[in-house]
Amino acid sequence: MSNSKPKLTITLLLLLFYLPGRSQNFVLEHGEYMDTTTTRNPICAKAMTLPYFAVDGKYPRSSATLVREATAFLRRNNRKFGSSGYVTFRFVIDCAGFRQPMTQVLQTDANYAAFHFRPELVSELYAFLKTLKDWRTANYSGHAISYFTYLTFKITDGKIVAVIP
Amino acid sequence: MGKSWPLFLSLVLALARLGHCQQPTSTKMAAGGCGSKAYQDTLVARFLDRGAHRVSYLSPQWGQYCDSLIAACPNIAYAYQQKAMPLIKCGDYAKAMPLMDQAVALDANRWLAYRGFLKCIFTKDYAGALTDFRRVAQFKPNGREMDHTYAFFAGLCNMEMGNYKQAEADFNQDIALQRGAAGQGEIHFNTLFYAGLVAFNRKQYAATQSYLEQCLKAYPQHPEANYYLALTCQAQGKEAAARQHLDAAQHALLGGYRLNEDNIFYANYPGQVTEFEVMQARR
Repeated sequence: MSNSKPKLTITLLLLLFYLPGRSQNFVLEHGEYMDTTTTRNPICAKAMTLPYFAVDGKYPRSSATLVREATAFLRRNNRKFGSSGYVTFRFVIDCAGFRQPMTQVLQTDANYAAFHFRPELVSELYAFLKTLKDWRTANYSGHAISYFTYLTFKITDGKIVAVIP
Repeated sequence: MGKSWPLFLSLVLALARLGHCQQPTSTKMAAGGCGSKAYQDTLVARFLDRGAHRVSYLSPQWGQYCDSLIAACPNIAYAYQQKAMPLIKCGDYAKAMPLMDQAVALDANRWLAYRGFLKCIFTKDYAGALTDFRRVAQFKPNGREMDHTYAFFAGLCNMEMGNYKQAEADFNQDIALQRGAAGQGEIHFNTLFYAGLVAFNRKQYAATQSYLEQCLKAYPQHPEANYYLALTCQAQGKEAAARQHLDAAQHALLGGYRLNEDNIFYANYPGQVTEFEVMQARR
Protein backbone atom coordinates (compact mmCIF):
# COMPACT_ATOMS: atom_id res chain seq x y z
CA MET A 1 0.00 0.00 0.00
CA SER A 2 2.86 2.36 0.69
CA ASN A 3 3.81 2.20 -3.02
CA SER A 4 0.38 3.25 -4.27
CA LYS A 5 0.96 7.03 -4.16
CA PRO A 6 4.20 7.02 -6.18
CA LYS A 7 2.56 4.65 -8.67
CA LEU A 8 -0.40 6.96 -9.02
CA THR A 9 1.92 9.91 -9.49
CA ILE A 10 3.88 8.07 -12.15
CA THR A 11 0.66 7.03 -13.90
CA LEU A 12 -0.61 10.61 -13.86
CA LEU A 13 2.71 11.87 -15.17
CA LEU A 14 2.68 9.29 -17.96
CA LEU A 15 -0.89 10.25 -18.79
CA LEU A 16 0.13 13.89 -18.87
CA PHE A 17 2.86 13.18 -21.40
CA TYR A 18 0.52 10.99 -23.41
CA LEU A 19 -2.03 13.76 -23.83
CA PRO A 20 -1.63 15.64 -27.11
CA GLY A 21 0.53 18.73 -26.71
CA ARG A 22 -0.95 22.15 -27.27
CA SER A 23 0.62 24.43 -29.79
CA GLN A 24 3.23 26.85 -28.64
CA ASN A 25 1.25 30.04 -28.47
CA PHE A 26 2.24 33.23 -26.71
CA VAL A 27 -0.37 35.83 -25.98
CA LEU A 28 1.15 39.28 -25.88
CA GLU A 29 -0.50 42.66 -25.54
CA HIS A 30 -0.64 43.18 -29.29
CA GLY A 31 -1.52 39.66 -30.42
CA GLU A 32 -0.87 35.96 -30.29
CA TYR A 33 2.39 34.48 -31.47
CA MET A 34 3.57 31.03 -32.43
CA ASP A 35 7.12 32.08 -31.72
CA THR A 36 8.56 35.21 -30.17
CA THR A 37 12.19 34.43 -30.89
CA THR A 38 14.11 37.24 -32.51
CA THR A 39 17.24 36.48 -34.45
CA ARG A 40 19.90 38.69 -35.92
CA ASN A 41 21.42 37.99 -39.27
CA PRO A 42 24.46 40.31 -39.37
CA ILE A 43 24.18 40.56 -43.15
CA CYS A 44 20.77 42.17 -42.75
CA ALA A 45 21.63 44.45 -39.86
CA LYS A 46 21.26 47.59 -41.94
CA ALA A 47 18.52 46.35 -44.25
CA MET A 48 15.21 48.19 -44.50
CA THR A 49 11.97 46.27 -43.92
CA LEU A 50 9.16 46.80 -46.42
CA PRO A 51 5.77 45.17 -46.93
CA TYR A 52 5.65 42.10 -49.19
CA PHE A 53 3.58 43.88 -51.80
CA ALA A 54 6.25 46.52 -52.36
CA VAL A 55 8.77 43.88 -53.43
CA ASP A 56 6.75 41.13 -55.12
CA GLY A 57 7.26 39.07 -51.97
CA LYS A 58 4.47 36.52 -52.30
CA TYR A 59 5.74 32.96 -51.91
CA PRO A 60 6.76 31.71 -55.36
CA ARG A 61 4.15 28.97 -55.68
CA SER A 62 0.61 29.15 -56.96
CA SER A 63 -2.17 29.00 -54.37
CA ALA A 64 -3.26 25.66 -55.85
CA THR A 65 0.23 24.20 -55.33
CA LEU A 66 0.32 25.44 -51.74
CA VAL A 67 -3.13 23.98 -51.04
CA ARG A 68 -2.01 20.63 -52.44
CA GLU A 69 1.26 20.60 -50.49
CA ALA A 70 -0.32 21.77 -47.23
CA THR A 71 -3.10 19.19 -47.55
CA ALA A 72 -0.55 16.41 -48.10
CA PHE A 73 1.42 17.68 -45.10
CA LEU A 74 -1.65 17.54 -42.86
CA ARG A 75 -2.58 14.08 -44.11
CA ARG A 76 0.70 12.52 -43.01
CA ASN A 77 -0.56 12.24 -39.43
CA ASN A 78 -4.01 11.01 -40.45
CA ARG A 79 -5.69 13.43 -38.10
CA LYS A 80 -9.04 14.92 -38.87
CA PHE A 81 -10.03 18.46 -37.98
CA GLY A 82 -13.29 20.36 -38.13
CA SER A 83 -14.26 24.05 -38.16
CA SER A 84 -14.08 26.69 -40.86
CA GLY A 85 -12.35 30.03 -41.11
CA TYR A 86 -8.92 31.54 -41.56
CA VAL A 87 -5.55 30.97 -39.89
CA THR A 88 -3.00 33.67 -40.72
CA PHE A 89 0.69 33.71 -39.86
CA ARG A 90 2.56 37.02 -40.13
CA PHE A 91 6.34 37.13 -40.11
CA VAL A 92 9.44 38.69 -41.66
CA ILE A 93 11.69 37.37 -44.41
CA ASP A 94 15.16 38.76 -43.91
CA CYS A 95 17.29 40.27 -46.62
CA ALA A 96 18.95 36.90 -47.26
CA GLY A 97 15.60 35.17 -47.86
CA PHE A 98 15.26 33.43 -44.49
CA ARG A 99 11.95 33.40 -42.64
CA GLN A 100 12.44 34.85 -39.19
CA PRO A 101 11.04 32.78 -36.31
CA MET A 102 8.93 35.50 -34.70
CA THR A 103 5.45 34.73 -36.02
CA GLN A 104 2.12 36.27 -35.18
CA VAL A 105 -0.99 34.15 -35.58
CA LEU A 106 -4.48 35.48 -36.31
CA GLN A 107 -7.57 33.32 -36.44
CA THR A 108 -11.14 33.99 -37.48
CA ASP A 109 -14.17 31.92 -38.29
CA ALA A 110 -15.67 31.88 -41.78
CA ASN A 111 -17.55 35.10 -41.00
CA TYR A 112 -14.33 36.87 -39.99
CA ALA A 113 -15.16 36.88 -36.28
CA ALA A 114 -12.33 36.15 -33.83
CA PHE A 115 -12.08 32.43 -33.27
CA HIS A 116 -9.65 29.74 -32.17
CA PHE A 117 -9.14 26.57 -34.15
CA ARG A 118 -7.92 23.46 -32.38
CA PRO A 119 -4.33 24.18 -31.35
CA GLU A 120 -3.18 20.94 -33.00
CA LEU A 121 -4.38 22.20 -36.38
CA VAL A 122 -2.69 25.57 -35.91
CA SER A 123 0.51 23.77 -34.91
CA GLU A 124 0.34 21.61 -38.00
CA LEU A 125 -0.17 24.61 -40.27
CA TYR A 126 2.71 26.36 -38.59
CA ALA A 127 4.86 23.26 -39.05
CA PHE A 128 3.96 23.36 -42.75
CA LEU A 129 4.86 27.02 -42.95
CA LYS A 130 8.28 26.15 -41.57
CA THR A 131 8.85 23.75 -44.47
CA LEU A 132 8.60 26.59 -46.99
CA LYS A 133 12.19 27.49 -47.80
CA ASP A 134 12.00 29.25 -51.16
CA TRP A 135 11.14 32.76 -50.04
CA ARG A 136 12.33 35.38 -52.47
CA THR A 137 15.15 37.70 -51.64
CA ALA A 138 14.09 41.26 -52.30
CA ASN A 139 15.81 44.39 -53.51
CA TYR A 140 14.72 47.96 -53.32
CA SER A 141 16.66 50.73 -55.05
CA GLY A 142 19.55 48.33 -55.48
CA HIS A 143 19.72 47.30 -51.82
CA ALA A 144 18.81 43.93 -50.34
CA ILE A 145 15.90 44.45 -47.98
CA SER A 146 13.85 42.43 -45.53
CA TYR A 147 10.08 42.31 -45.87
CA PHE A 148 7.12 41.37 -43.72
CA THR A 149 4.55 39.08 -45.19
CA TYR A 150 1.83 36.64 -44.24
CA LEU A 151 0.33 33.34 -45.23
CA THR A 152 -3.34 32.60 -44.62
CA PHE A 153 -4.91 29.17 -44.73
CA LYS A 154 -8.60 29.21 -45.52
CA ILE A 155 -10.15 26.20 -43.85
CA THR A 156 -13.56 24.72 -44.63
CA ASP A 157 -14.73 21.87 -42.40
CA GLY A 158 -11.15 21.21 -41.39
CA LYS A 159 -9.84 21.09 -44.96
CA ILE A 160 -7.50 23.63 -46.55
CA VAL A 161 -9.36 25.15 -49.48
CA ALA A 162 -7.16 28.17 -50.22
CA VAL A 163 -3.81 29.65 -49.33
CA ILE A 164 -3.57 33.44 -49.41
CA PRO A 165 -2.02 35.68 -50.70
CA MET B 1 18.11 42.34 -38.77
CA GLY B 2 18.99 44.63 -35.92
CA LYS B 3 16.96 47.40 -37.43
CA SER B 4 14.22 45.41 -39.04
CA TRP B 5 12.73 43.79 -35.93
CA PRO B 6 11.86 46.99 -34.14
CA LEU B 7 10.36 48.17 -37.42
CA PHE B 8 8.38 44.95 -37.82
CA LEU B 9 7.11 45.23 -34.27
CA SER B 10 6.13 48.82 -34.80
CA LEU B 11 4.28 47.82 -37.99
CA VAL B 12 2.46 45.05 -36.14
CA LEU B 13 1.60 47.45 -33.36
CA ALA B 14 0.48 50.02 -35.88
CA LEU B 15 -1.80 47.49 -37.55
CA ALA B 16 -3.14 46.42 -34.16
CA ARG B 17 -3.90 50.01 -33.29
CA LEU B 18 -5.67 50.54 -36.58
CA GLY B 19 -8.44 48.33 -35.26
CA HIS B 20 -9.02 50.36 -32.14
CA CYS B 21 -11.31 53.32 -32.37
CA GLN B 22 -9.87 56.46 -30.94
CA GLN B 23 -11.58 59.31 -29.20
CA PRO B 24 -12.74 62.28 -31.22
CA THR B 25 -10.21 64.97 -31.95
CA SER B 26 -10.33 68.15 -29.97
CA THR B 27 -12.47 69.77 -32.63
CA LYS B 28 -16.01 68.79 -31.79
CA MET B 29 -18.07 68.61 -34.92
CA ALA B 30 -21.69 69.45 -34.96
CA ALA B 31 -23.59 66.18 -35.30
CA GLY B 32 -26.23 67.83 -37.41
CA GLY B 33 -23.67 68.72 -40.10
CA CYS B 34 -22.84 65.10 -40.77
CA GLY B 35 -25.99 64.76 -42.86
CA SER B 36 -24.65 67.34 -45.30
CA LYS B 37 -22.58 66.05 -48.25
CA ALA B 38 -20.67 69.32 -48.41
CA TYR B 39 -19.77 69.09 -44.75
CA GLN B 40 -18.70 65.45 -45.13
CA ASP B 41 -16.50 66.47 -48.06
CA THR B 42 -14.71 69.09 -45.99
CA LEU B 43 -14.00 66.47 -43.32
CA VAL B 44 -12.77 63.94 -45.89
CA ALA B 45 -10.48 66.62 -47.33
CA ARG B 46 -9.19 67.44 -43.89
CA PHE B 47 -8.70 63.96 -42.40
CA LEU B 48 -8.01 61.88 -45.49
CA ASP B 49 -6.81 64.05 -48.40
CA ARG B 50 -4.65 66.28 -46.24
CA GLY B 51 -4.18 63.70 -43.50
CA ALA B 52 -4.07 59.96 -43.99
CA HIS B 53 -3.16 60.19 -47.66
CA ARG B 54 0.01 62.08 -46.79
CA VAL B 55 1.38 59.23 -44.69
CA SER B 56 1.96 55.54 -45.42
CA TYR B 57 -1.14 53.46 -44.92
CA LEU B 58 0.95 51.18 -42.73
CA SER B 59 1.67 54.07 -40.40
CA PRO B 60 -0.33 54.29 -37.14
CA GLN B 61 -1.31 57.79 -38.21
CA TRP B 62 -3.36 56.38 -41.09
CA GLY B 63 -5.74 54.63 -38.71
CA GLN B 64 -5.78 57.64 -36.40
CA TYR B 65 -6.88 59.95 -39.21
CA CYS B 66 -9.62 57.47 -40.15
CA ASP B 67 -10.68 57.24 -36.52
CA SER B 68 -10.79 61.02 -36.25
CA LEU B 69 -13.02 61.20 -39.29
CA ILE B 70 -15.27 58.45 -37.94
CA ALA B 71 -15.45 60.19 -34.57
CA ALA B 72 -16.37 63.48 -36.24
CA CYS B 73 -18.98 61.92 -38.51
CA PRO B 74 -19.69 58.22 -38.02
CA ASN B 75 -21.82 58.08 -41.15
CA ILE B 76 -19.02 58.51 -43.74
CA ALA B 77 -18.63 55.09 -45.39
CA TYR B 78 -15.34 56.04 -47.06
CA ALA B 79 -13.65 56.40 -43.65
CA TYR B 80 -14.41 52.77 -42.77
CA GLN B 81 -13.24 51.53 -46.17
CA GLN B 82 -10.01 53.49 -45.89
CA LYS B 83 -9.37 52.09 -42.45
CA ALA B 84 -10.09 48.53 -43.63
CA MET B 85 -7.88 48.63 -46.72
CA PRO B 86 -4.40 48.28 -45.15
CA LEU B 87 -5.71 45.71 -42.69
CA ILE B 88 -6.95 43.39 -45.39
CA LYS B 89 -3.70 43.71 -47.31
CA CYS B 90 -1.92 42.40 -44.21
CA GLY B 91 -4.28 39.50 -43.53
CA ASP B 92 -6.13 40.98 -40.55
CA TYR B 93 -9.63 39.97 -41.58
CA ALA B 94 -11.15 40.15 -38.10
CA LYS B 95 -10.53 43.89 -38.04
CA ALA B 96 -10.94 44.65 -41.73
CA MET B 97 -14.20 42.95 -42.60
CA PRO B 98 -16.43 44.50 -39.89
CA LEU B 99 -15.19 47.88 -41.12
CA MET B 100 -16.12 46.96 -44.68
CA ASP B 101 -19.51 45.75 -43.45
CA GLN B 102 -20.00 49.15 -41.87
CA ALA B 103 -19.02 50.90 -45.11
CA VAL B 104 -21.54 48.77 -47.01
CA ALA B 105 -24.25 49.42 -44.42
CA LEU B 106 -23.73 53.15 -44.88
CA ASP B 107 -23.30 53.22 -48.66
CA ALA B 108 -24.07 49.94 -50.43
CA ASN B 109 -24.21 51.69 -53.78
CA ARG B 110 -20.51 52.54 -53.54
CA TRP B 111 -19.00 49.75 -51.43
CA LEU B 112 -21.00 46.56 -51.90
CA ALA B 113 -19.20 45.57 -55.10
CA TYR B 114 -15.85 46.49 -53.55
CA ARG B 115 -16.57 44.16 -50.63
CA GLY B 116 -17.49 41.46 -53.13
CA PHE B 117 -14.17 42.08 -54.86
CA LEU B 118 -12.29 41.73 -51.54
CA LYS B 119 -14.08 38.47 -50.79
CA CYS B 120 -13.40 37.15 -54.27
CA ILE B 121 -9.73 38.10 -54.62
CA PHE B 122 -8.43 38.58 -51.08
CA THR B 123 -10.27 36.15 -48.81
CA LYS B 124 -11.39 33.59 -51.41
CA ASP B 125 -14.89 33.67 -49.94
CA TYR B 126 -16.51 32.94 -53.27
CA ALA B 127 -20.03 32.28 -51.97
CA GLY B 128 -19.95 35.54 -50.00
CA ALA B 129 -18.62 37.44 -53.01
CA LEU B 130 -21.34 36.04 -55.26
CA THR B 131 -23.99 37.17 -52.80
CA ASP B 132 -22.56 40.69 -52.83
CA PHE B 133 -22.26 40.86 -56.62
CA ARG B 134 -25.78 39.52 -57.15
CA ARG B 135 -27.14 42.10 -54.73
CA VAL B 136 -25.30 45.03 -56.25
CA ALA B 137 -26.21 43.95 -59.79
CA GLN B 138 -29.85 44.46 -58.86
CA PHE B 139 -29.40 48.20 -58.50
CA LYS B 140 -26.32 48.68 -60.73
CA PRO B 141 -26.75 46.14 -63.54
CA ASN B 142 -24.00 47.67 -65.65
CA GLY B 143 -21.71 48.54 -62.78
CA ARG B 144 -18.00 47.81 -62.68
CA GLU B 145 -15.43 47.22 -60.00
CA MET B 146 -11.65 47.28 -60.46
CA ASP B 147 -11.98 47.60 -64.25
CA HIS B 148 -14.31 44.60 -64.57
CA THR B 149 -18.02 43.94 -64.78
CA TYR B 150 -19.75 42.21 -61.90
CA ALA B 151 -20.32 39.26 -64.23
CA PHE B 152 -16.53 38.88 -64.50
CA PHE B 153 -16.20 38.42 -60.74
CA ALA B 154 -19.26 36.16 -60.64
CA GLY B 155 -17.51 34.07 -63.29
CA LEU B 156 -14.37 33.83 -61.16
CA CYS B 157 -16.39 32.82 -58.11
CA ASN B 158 -18.39 30.18 -59.95
CA MET B 159 -15.26 28.82 -61.60
CA GLU B 160 -13.52 28.50 -58.24
CA MET B 161 -16.57 26.78 -56.77
CA GLY B 162 -16.59 24.30 -59.66
CA ASN B 163 -19.80 25.67 -61.19
CA TYR B 164 -18.28 25.74 -64.65
CA LYS B 165 -21.50 25.98 -66.62
CA GLN B 166 -22.60 29.02 -64.65
CA ALA B 167 -19.09 30.48 -64.90
CA GLU B 168 -19.25 30.12 -68.68
CA ALA B 169 -22.58 31.97 -68.70
CA ASP B 170 -21.08 34.70 -66.50
CA PHE B 171 -18.11 35.25 -68.82
CA ASN B 172 -20.44 35.29 -71.82
CA GLN B 173 -22.41 38.02 -70.06
CA ASP B 174 -19.16 39.83 -69.26
CA ILE B 175 -18.17 39.66 -72.94
CA ALA B 176 -21.58 40.90 -74.06
CA LEU B 177 -21.38 43.85 -71.65
CA GLN B 178 -17.91 44.77 -72.88
CA ARG B 179 -18.94 44.50 -76.52
CA GLY B 180 -21.76 46.92 -75.79
CA ALA B 181 -24.92 47.60 -77.73
CA ALA B 182 -22.98 48.25 -80.93
CA GLY B 183 -21.00 45.06 -80.50
CA GLN B 184 -17.73 46.88 -81.15
CA GLY B 185 -16.21 47.03 -77.67
CA GLU B 186 -12.82 45.43 -77.05
CA ILE B 187 -12.77 42.42 -74.72
CA HIS B 188 -10.38 42.54 -71.77
CA PHE B 189 -7.62 39.94 -72.17
CA ASN B 190 -8.32 38.53 -68.72
CA THR B 191 -11.95 37.92 -69.63
CA LEU B 192 -10.66 35.89 -72.56
CA PHE B 193 -8.15 34.15 -70.32
CA TYR B 194 -10.74 33.13 -67.73
CA ALA B 195 -13.28 32.09 -70.34
CA GLY B 196 -10.49 29.86 -71.65
CA LEU B 197 -9.71 28.56 -68.18
CA VAL B 198 -13.35 27.61 -67.61
CA ALA B 199 -13.34 25.74 -70.93
CA PHE B 200 -10.06 24.08 -69.89
CA ASN B 201 -11.61 22.91 -66.64
CA ARG B 202 -14.46 21.43 -68.66
CA LYS B 203 -11.91 19.72 -70.96
CA GLN B 204 -13.31 21.66 -73.92
CA TYR B 205 -9.94 22.04 -75.53
CA ALA B 206 -11.03 23.60 -78.83
CA ALA B 207 -12.83 26.40 -76.98
CA THR B 208 -9.91 26.73 -74.56
CA GLN B 209 -7.49 27.16 -77.43
CA SER B 210 -9.70 29.69 -79.13
CA TYR B 211 -10.10 31.89 -76.03
CA LEU B 212 -6.45 31.66 -75.00
CA GLU B 213 -5.21 32.47 -78.50
CA GLN B 214 -7.46 35.54 -78.53
CA CYS B 215 -6.05 36.49 -75.13
CA LEU B 216 -2.48 36.11 -76.40
CA LYS B 217 -3.30 38.20 -79.44
CA ALA B 218 -4.15 41.06 -77.09
CA TYR B 219 -1.33 40.34 -74.63
CA PRO B 220 1.29 37.95 -76.07
CA GLN B 221 3.29 37.69 -72.83
CA HIS B 222 0.31 36.68 -70.68
CA PRO B 223 2.03 33.98 -68.57
CA GLU B 224 -1.08 32.08 -67.56
CA ALA B 225 -2.59 32.07 -71.05
CA ASN B 226 0.65 30.56 -72.36
CA TYR B 227 0.79 28.08 -69.48
CA TYR B 228 -2.77 26.79 -69.86
CA LEU B 229 -2.45 26.74 -73.62
CA ALA B 230 0.61 24.53 -73.11
CA LEU B 231 -1.43 22.21 -70.87
CA THR B 232 -4.16 22.15 -73.53
CA CYS B 233 -1.58 21.21 -76.16
CA GLN B 234 -0.22 18.49 -73.86
CA ALA B 235 -3.73 17.11 -73.38
CA GLN B 236 -4.07 16.93 -77.15
CA GLY B 237 -0.66 15.33 -77.64
CA LYS B 238 0.85 18.43 -79.29
CA GLU B 239 4.15 18.28 -77.41
CA ALA B 240 6.13 20.73 -79.57
CA ALA B 241 3.48 23.44 -79.28
CA ALA B 242 3.21 22.75 -75.54
CA ARG B 243 6.97 23.29 -75.10
CA GLN B 244 6.77 26.50 -77.09
CA HIS B 245 4.06 27.92 -74.83
CA LEU B 246 5.82 26.79 -71.67
CA ASP B 247 8.94 28.58 -72.90
CA ALA B 248 6.86 31.68 -73.53
CA ALA B 249 5.27 31.46 -70.07
CA GLN B 250 8.64 31.07 -68.40
CA HIS B 251 10.24 33.94 -70.32
CA ALA B 252 7.27 36.14 -69.51
CA LEU B 253 7.43 35.40 -65.79
CA LEU B 254 11.19 35.92 -65.69
CA GLY B 255 10.66 39.18 -67.56
CA GLY B 256 8.22 40.36 -64.89
CA TYR B 257 5.02 39.95 -66.90
CA ARG B 258 1.94 39.07 -64.87
CA LEU B 259 -1.84 38.83 -65.25
CA ASN B 260 -1.88 42.63 -65.19
CA GLU B 261 -4.47 43.29 -62.55
CA ASP B 262 -3.98 46.18 -60.14
CA ASN B 263 -4.21 44.02 -57.04
CA ILE B 264 -1.89 41.26 -58.17
CA PHE B 265 0.80 42.45 -55.77
CA TYR B 266 -1.46 41.77 -52.81
CA ALA B 267 -3.12 38.48 -53.69
CA ASN B 268 -2.94 35.72 -56.25
CA TYR B 269 -5.73 35.70 -58.79
CA PRO B 270 -7.51 32.41 -59.58
CA GLY B 271 -5.42 30.22 -61.85
CA GLN B 272 -2.33 32.36 -61.42
CA VAL B 273 0.92 30.41 -61.73
CA THR B 274 4.59 30.92 -60.93
CA GLU B 275 7.78 29.67 -62.52
CA PHE B 276 7.52 26.61 -60.27
CA GLU B 277 4.30 25.40 -61.92
CA VAL B 278 5.74 26.10 -65.37
CA MET B 279 8.80 23.98 -64.53
CA GLN B 280 6.56 21.24 -63.15
CA ALA B 281 4.58 21.16 -66.39
CA ARG B 282 7.77 20.38 -68.32
CA ARG B 283 8.18 17.05 -66.55
